[in-house]
Amino acid sequence: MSSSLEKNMLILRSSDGEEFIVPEVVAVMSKAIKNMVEDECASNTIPVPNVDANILAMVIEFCKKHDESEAEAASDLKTFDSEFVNRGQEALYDLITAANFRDVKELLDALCQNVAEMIKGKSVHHIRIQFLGYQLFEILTSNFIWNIWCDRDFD
Amino acid sequence: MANLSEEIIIEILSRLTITTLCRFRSVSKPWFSLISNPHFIKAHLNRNTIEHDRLILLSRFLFRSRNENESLVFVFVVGVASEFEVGFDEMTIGEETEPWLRNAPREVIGSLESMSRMISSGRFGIAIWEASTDGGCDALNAFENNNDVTKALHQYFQGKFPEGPSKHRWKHAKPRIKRICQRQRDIGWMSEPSSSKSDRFIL
Repeated sequence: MSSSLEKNMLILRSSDGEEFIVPEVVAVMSKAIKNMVEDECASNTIPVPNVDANILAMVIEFCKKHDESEAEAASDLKTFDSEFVNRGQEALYDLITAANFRDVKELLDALCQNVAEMIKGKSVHHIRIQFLGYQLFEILTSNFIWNIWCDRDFD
Repeated sequence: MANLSEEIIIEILSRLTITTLCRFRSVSKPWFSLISNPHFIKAHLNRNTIEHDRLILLSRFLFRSRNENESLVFVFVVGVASEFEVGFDEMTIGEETEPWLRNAPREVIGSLESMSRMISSGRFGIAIWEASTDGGCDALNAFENNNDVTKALHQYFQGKFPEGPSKHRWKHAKPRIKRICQRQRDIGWMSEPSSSKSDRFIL
């Protein structure tokens, strides 16, 4: 199979077994994959554990766009980025984890910036419930600030 | 977000402003300790220095009013780091500054955006932090040289306390100052100020 492929193509296999054929230039945007390619410890098929097909497709889409539009206007890329990261929370966190794990710096930057902007104007209760998944009773039964204040010792 | 690793949380939080971070300290204990962590503060500082210059704390004063509705005021004299050609680790102030400034304890206090913006026009700035109201920085000004700083301080405090601060009140104020300092130190945006040398009365 590897002989039928062009030399600069790589196959990425997601955790649920789906395979993606990706040009090497795109794949090496992930530093983890780049290291594997450089060390020549990988055959043409590179397993990408912990990342399922859905997320991997998104990451590849992002990398492809960034690779293509390197010469293009930066504003174009920015609008793409902002649209790309505009997703539901679950997908966002999965993407962040994948980007961190695969070490794709541009993606991680864009995603973290997005999350930062999401939580920027929110109240503490919002953060607890919407982002950290606290249940309401947890907040009612434990007074965080009070606990923190009790823990300190003044001299 | 709960299942993101701490590394990523740091990455996200270091993109927020200080005001937001101060609010988010009360989100949860892990976040509190994370945001108060000196390493996090340094990381935050480093991320934000490209846009905002580092500020160094040149001197610190403490005032206390003589009248009964007591108010406690901290004054931070702040300079922009690049003006003094200082590195993050070794901080020396240029020869041309006045002795009281040269000998004053100084430290990097943060990258408060608003402060930095205002001060960028001048060389010195004053941030006045009123402990009694516990509000943020009360007054911010930029000045061309340190004479102006002293003058402005006089003006500010003459308006505030016409009688001037009293020395004997210092003793009574001390426990409270200590507590406030502890709180500030815990928060991490300020290191220990309570040594008698660095706390001075002027006026």
